Amino acid sequence: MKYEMSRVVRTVTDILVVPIIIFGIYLIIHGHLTPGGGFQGGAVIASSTALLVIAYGSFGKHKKDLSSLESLGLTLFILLALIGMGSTMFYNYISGTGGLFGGTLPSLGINPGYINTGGTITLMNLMVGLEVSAALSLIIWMMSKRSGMMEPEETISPSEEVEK
Amino acid sequence: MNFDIFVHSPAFILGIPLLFAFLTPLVNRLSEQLRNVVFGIGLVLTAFFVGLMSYQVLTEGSWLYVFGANQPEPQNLLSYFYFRITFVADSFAVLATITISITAVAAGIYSYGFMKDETGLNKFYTLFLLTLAGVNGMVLTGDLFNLFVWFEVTSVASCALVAFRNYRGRSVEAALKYMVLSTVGGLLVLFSIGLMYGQYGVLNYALLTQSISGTFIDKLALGLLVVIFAMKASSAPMHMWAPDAYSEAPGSVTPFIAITSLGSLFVLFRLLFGVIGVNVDPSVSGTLLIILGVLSMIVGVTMALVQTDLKRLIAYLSVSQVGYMMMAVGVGLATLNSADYQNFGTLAMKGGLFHMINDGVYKALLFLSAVAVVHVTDIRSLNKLGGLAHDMPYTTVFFLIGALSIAGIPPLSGFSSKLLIYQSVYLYSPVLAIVALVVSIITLAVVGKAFFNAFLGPDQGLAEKKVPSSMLFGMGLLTVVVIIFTLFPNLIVSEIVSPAVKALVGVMP
Repeated sequence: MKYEMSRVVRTVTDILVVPIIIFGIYLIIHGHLTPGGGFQGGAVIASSTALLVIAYGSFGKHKKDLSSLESLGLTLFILLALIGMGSTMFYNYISGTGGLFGGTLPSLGINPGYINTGGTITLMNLMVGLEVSAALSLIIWMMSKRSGMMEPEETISPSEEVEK
Repeated sequence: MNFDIFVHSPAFILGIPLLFAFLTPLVNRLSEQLRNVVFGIGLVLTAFFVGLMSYQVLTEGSWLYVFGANQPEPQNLLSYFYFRITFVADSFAVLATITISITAVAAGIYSYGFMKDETGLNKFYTLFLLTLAGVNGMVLTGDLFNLFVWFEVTSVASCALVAFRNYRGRSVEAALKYMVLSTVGGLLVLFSIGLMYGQYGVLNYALLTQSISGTFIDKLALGLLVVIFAMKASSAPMHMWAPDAYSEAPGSVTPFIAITSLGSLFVLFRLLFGVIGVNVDPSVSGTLLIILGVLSMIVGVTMALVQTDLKRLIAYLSVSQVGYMMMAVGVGLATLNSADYQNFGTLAMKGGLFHMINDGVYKALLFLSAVAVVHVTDIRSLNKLGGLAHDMPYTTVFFLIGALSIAGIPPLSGFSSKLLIYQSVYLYSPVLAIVALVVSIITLAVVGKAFFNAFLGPDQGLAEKKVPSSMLFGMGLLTVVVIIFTLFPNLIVSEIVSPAVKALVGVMP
């Protein structure tokens, strides 16, 4: 239990992780209206990973899943862009069609911000958020593994193999 | 609205490599064979769309592709928001993308056999396709900020490719050098873009050309852009990263890293001719290009003379080849506003641009055949190699064709473009033509030494294994292209190179 921190830290972490993730999702969903967006929201979500790694000193066995999640987010992003190819790539084909993302656009000028008017922008923000949260979590995992903050793994990297 | 796949091809040239780059790691979880197939499909599809775009440009003329608009071709550019991303599909972009995709397909096929024994290949293929998307985006884009984005994508992906075999300390060192230079370069590019945007409030090439007036700040921005893109194009005196990066990257991507350099050179020419240079003072920037070119030619070839490492030798030769293009296009730029442009300026431009497409292909062939030698013998020193013609006859022929082509021996393709350069540059200044000829002769001496040391002589039994068939196929593909360029230089110049010169010099669509 050398890598685990005290019970107080772990309990506070457990409580804090939930609002951090929710705030991250808020930033992603409101990306087209307020400062923030996919990258920022994803980074906030990844900071919850940092908290968990520091408090518990382990990462679980989800490295491959995160890696796939990263690729999945990017693939869907490009697919969303390519679907617009009927007009042009990155054409916002959902905007103004009604439904969850395609609310009618308000006229120009000051308005309170309508959340359902983003069209493909909201979906793309979601995909970028998925990608960034997974990628930054992986980066945190890599760095904490090397810095001795986490339980070292059994595998030897090729560079160490060569030195031997 | 009817869907015209030809008009959409620039977007596909960008979108297909990106899509397949991110698909590869996903498919890799299913099966490794399937991943290789997906990678191949991505490469071939990209080349296919390059073909479609070339056909459309050469038959119908150029067009602007506006991303996110409700129709691809703008009726009136000013009616769009100033910050919409546009792609320029003109004959110059055709020349650039054809050069890039020939090398990419050959290097990709070559990778199958070459990288078989390495681990983490899904990331290798992802990085390969990302670099392809980055270089294509860089030469196609019609927007300064978008150019910065693709510049960074190319830098990051190709740095990671150089450092791919991270168990070799030297690879990591080369990649670090490359990364530091690219990142500083990227920041300076961003700074100069800021200088332009602060003055004129537009980033689009077409709009920028109309508004630039040639103030001191414009000259500052142009100077920064020229230096950074000349650095990325591995021109002397900013060439020091190139030999390291070229010789330490995994062999199959070495020509591809060289292609990112050529892509930067294409961008440099487009900025100099289409955007900033013509409004500032072409004769000054043209003279600067000529000086950089002559310096690269001399430094590159004299450094190549003393190399004993086969891959470093070719890397220095590639630096000297970049000098030819910069010198020839520099002559075109320097004479742009005078009557001399009609006399010999266009010819110099044709020679320079024809040399670019030639160089992209035969340099790749030379690199790939040298890598095949290193792959089967595991020896890089020319002093220890010898007698390989007995064991690897095909590779010997491929290397010989590449070597004679880079030295400009008639009738090979390198000769036709170099002849155009000699003829036209002589009229500008005989000294330049003499330098070019002398450098060409030293190049012949260098490749002659390399060929003699590596392939000729008694059989020493150095080859430990056979060259895999996919590697032979990749080299064979490039050889076929070199032979096509050799047989029909007139056709290439009149159909691809001359329109590219016109598109480069003329106003944007």
